[in-house]
This record gives sequence, C-alpha cells and structure tokens, in this order.
Amino acid sequence: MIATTDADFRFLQQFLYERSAIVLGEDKHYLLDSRLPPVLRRVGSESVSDLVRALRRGDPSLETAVVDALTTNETSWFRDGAPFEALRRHVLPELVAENSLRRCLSIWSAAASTGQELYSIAMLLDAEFPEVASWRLDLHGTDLSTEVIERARTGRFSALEINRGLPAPFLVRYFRREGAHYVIADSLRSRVRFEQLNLVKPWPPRQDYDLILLRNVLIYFDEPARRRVLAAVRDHLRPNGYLVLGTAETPRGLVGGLVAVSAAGATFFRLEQAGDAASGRPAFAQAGAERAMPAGSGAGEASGKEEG
Amino acid sequence: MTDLVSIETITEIAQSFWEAFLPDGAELQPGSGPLAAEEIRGRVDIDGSWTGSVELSCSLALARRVASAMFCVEEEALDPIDVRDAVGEIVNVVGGNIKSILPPPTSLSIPVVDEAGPDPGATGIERTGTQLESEVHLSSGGEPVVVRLWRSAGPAVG
Amino acid sequence: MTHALVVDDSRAMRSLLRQVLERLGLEVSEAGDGRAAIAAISAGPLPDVTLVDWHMPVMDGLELVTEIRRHKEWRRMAIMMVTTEAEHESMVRALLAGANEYLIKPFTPDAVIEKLCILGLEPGARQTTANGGSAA
Repeated sequence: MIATTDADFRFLQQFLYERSAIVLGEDKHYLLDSRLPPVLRRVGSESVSDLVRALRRGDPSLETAVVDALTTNETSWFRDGAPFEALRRHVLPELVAENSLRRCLSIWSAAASTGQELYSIAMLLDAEFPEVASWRLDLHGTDLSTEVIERARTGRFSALEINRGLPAPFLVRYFRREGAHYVIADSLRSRVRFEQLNLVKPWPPRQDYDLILLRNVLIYFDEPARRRVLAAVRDHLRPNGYLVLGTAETPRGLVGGLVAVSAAGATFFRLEQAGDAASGRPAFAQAGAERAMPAGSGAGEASGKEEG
Repeated sequence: MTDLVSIETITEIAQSFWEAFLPDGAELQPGSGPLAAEEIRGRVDIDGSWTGSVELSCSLALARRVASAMFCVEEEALDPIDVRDAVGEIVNVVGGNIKSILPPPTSLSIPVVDEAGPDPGATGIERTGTQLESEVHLSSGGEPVVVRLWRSAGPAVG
Repeated sequence: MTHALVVDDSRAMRSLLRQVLERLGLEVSEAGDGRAAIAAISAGPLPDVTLVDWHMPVMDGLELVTEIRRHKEWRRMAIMMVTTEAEHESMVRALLAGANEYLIKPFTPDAVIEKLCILGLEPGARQTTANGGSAA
C-alpha cells in the first residue's frame, strides 16, 4: 500500500484532469497502488510525495509516464463477450449487407489501447465475413497514450496478453510465434491503422464511421467532457451506423439524437431519425430498449467536480 | 546457438511468472541479488532437437515467499514439501516457456527440486556432459534468482 | 453451482487455480495426474469443466483428454488445457484430441475468468457483470 497524503492525491487528480479530462475519483486510491510503483522506481523513490515534487519541477517524459500509468487500461480480446457476439450475429451482417454496393466499411476503436479491440474485429471480419476482403476497409484505432499506440502498431503480444479472452482457434489461426511473443498475421495488421488522439481536445478532420467503439472511456471523464466527446462521436456516425459504449455507459441525459437498440444481450446506439418514434427502424430490436442502464454513466465517478 | 533464446527472453519469461502469480509489486528485476545463505534449485530437462536443461535457483527465503503466495498461507504454516513444490512449478513454467521457443520437436520432463548450500558442487543435480549456455541473474525483493540454460552434448547434430 | 476439476501434478498450481475458481463461486475438486482424474470423473458427479495440465506423471494431459473424449457420457464436460506448452502445434494437438480451450502458464486470474466465459460457464461471482443490474 502506497501512502499518499491528501494534498498529493489532490495534486495528482488535478494533474491528470488537466492533461486528459480524466477524473481520478476519491475511490481510486487503489489505482495509485497498482499503477505507480514502476513510475516511482523511475524516480528512485517509494514515496508519492517525491513523485509529486518531481512533477512540480516539470519533467515532460515523467508527466507522460504518469498519465500513461494512470490511464492505460487493462484490455482483452473480444472484451466482455456480449458486444462481440452481437456484432457477429446482428450488427456486422447488417452493415455488410447495407454497404455491399459501396463496398466500404469504416470502423473506429476510439480507446484502442494496445489494439486488442480493433484486432478482434479484424479477426471477426476475416473469419465470418470473407466478402469484405476485397472492400475498402478502414479499421482505425486511436488512444490517448502514444506508448500503447506504438505497441498496437507492432501487433506483438506477450503470452500473458494472449491469454486474455482470445479463443484458442483464433490464436492458432491468426498469430505466429516470435520468441516468447505472439505476432498478429500481417494480413490483418496491414488492414488496421493506429494513431494517437486525445478525445477531449479538438480532433483533426476525420471521416464518418459505420461503427464506433467508445467503451469504458466516458466513465473516466467529468460530465462536460462526456457531453463534448459523445456529441462529437455522434456527429461522426454514418446515418445507419452503430455506436458501442461500455456496459455501464449511456448517452442518456448527456446528449440527444441517439437511440438505444439491443441485440444478443448488448446495447448499441444509433442516430435518431424522423420516423423513429412512430414506426421504429428496421433494426433488429426495439428502440425503446433503454432499460437496465444506470442513469448517467459511472455514477459517483465525477467526485472531483467541486474542485476550484 | 545462444541466440535461440536470448537473455532478454529468459528474463521476460521469468518476470511474467512473477507478474501473473505474485500479486502486489513483488517484481522480478534484472541484476544480481546478494548470495543466498540457503539456496533451493529446480530443474527441468528438455529433450529433442535441442537437448539440455533449465535450472532455476533462488534463496530459500524467496522460495518460501512464492510458495506462500501460491498456497495462500502464511510462510510459518508452510511445509518444506510445499516450498519444493512451488519451486518445481516455477521451473516448470519457466522451462516450459523456454522449451516452446526452441525448434520442435522437443519434450519437457517433470521438474526435480533440490535444496543446497551456495556452492554449486553441493547440489545433487548432475552436470556432467553439459555446458552452460546462458546464465541470467535476477532479484525479487532483494533476494536472488538465477536461471541457467545448460546444453547437453546430446546426439550428434548433422 | 459450477463444478471444476483441476488436474495438475503441482500442488502449488492446483492451490492457485483453486483460489481463483473458488473466488468466482465455483466448486473445485483436484487430481494430481491423469489417472486420478479419470477415477474422480468416473466416481461422479460429472464436473462442468476440467482444467488439465500437460506434463504429469502416470498419465499426461494429452492422454487424459483423449481418454475423456472416448466416453460419450462425459461429452458435455468442457476441457481446458492449462499448460506451458505454448507452441501452435501443441495447441492444435490438444484441440484435435478434444480440448475446448487453452490457457498458457503463467496466466492472470482475469484470463481464467475470460476463458470460462468463452466456454459458456459464466462465473457467478464476477466483479463486473455483463448485464448491469436488473432495475427496470
């Protein structure tokens, strides 16, 4: 257990907020315990106070390391199961059918981390939708952390990472051994692109997407940042596109113009269209399926909001 | 032939055992720890296209710490046989992962574990006809861990 | 209650897996080699999943998987290899022999949970459940 004074914790809260709009809640002390030790070793100390002193002095590479350590999240293949099952059975078949004339498909993993989410989709497309192989595919991954984006680009994973939720037949089919590591097949790696992007800062111009995955990111933001990011993401959905959030996240109460649809135990969001309320869209489920979603994502997370 | 399995790879494999199985900061870091007063060694043999063995030695104190985590009991409650079992599993996992990098086909033996003093000559593990291919010094919480890769003369290769 | 049989010659590894599985609310039994596992399964009741190490004395993991799959009445039991055998060739052999999933040692507790989910064995005591609450 790392001892942290209240003052140091508040400094780290503020520091993280200014750089990433991420709110380090009072209940997140454990994050310091699990994430900071490697950074502490870097400054040759076991005390958070020393780290805070070093940050106050200003050290850009240390700042990046702290932001990376506190924001980089555990990730796994086909994370949470249900959304991917819904993608496989409902969402992707529909998008592939709708786009069969355009022969284009664009998918954005907006908190891509080390790439598992986007590569999972690439594997799913390759295994189940062979027709898209000749399409213009844009599989795009972005993340706040440059370090994880670099790793995502390599497509190289440790055995510990490979163990996380990747079904054995996919491992055998899409990865090769390289020393103690596993490297994703070039045929998949050449189809994805990764770049650094801070969601809360202005975005460079980008296209619209058929599918946007923005999972387990909003929970870290305060409410104004949630609204801003959700509105921008919504505005980059194609007319028949789908948005996936984390299981505890919803746009309800934050931005309008999105309706929930559910499939195979997962919830997706689509652009609201004029006729929605009356007729419902030809989607796979009722648009009124906004049940069982906690109001306001990650209630209790935004505990630093009275600051300043 | 040492480049078949680099020092970095051996280090990383050993570190992943610590990372996965030993919670909360008990990391394994490169670099020598102090010589242990009491040492425990485990070994697995690899046979096939590459013949030799992987040996892991560490201080008895560290072995007890690992066993305590794996068995989820206080160190005082550990039986010596538990400590040997835990060291056997470390060397099985480290050796098995090293084996999986070598060109196939190879097979892995069941681990053997021995307690010994700091003098390598005192171990019961036979070393005749083998040569040391790599030696990696690591430490965890100030306690030493050494992984050695021994290569047997083995059957003549081409 | 989901029942898991852990087959490994290392008592330390069995203990470690037991801790992970019991924390997920599974009932756990153990066997130290393939033959002991066959005896345990024969004695019943049939486990929902058997976790199988590869290198064991008496009867190794691959032989055990092959033997289990000879018994039609045990077909609904899932088998997950838990082993250091990380080569593709080994994985393919185990899958062809009838294993359903494959976990490489070392592994984190989360990896065990995720593999159980792939096998359709949603652990009861997951910290984050997939369906949120049941509030209407």
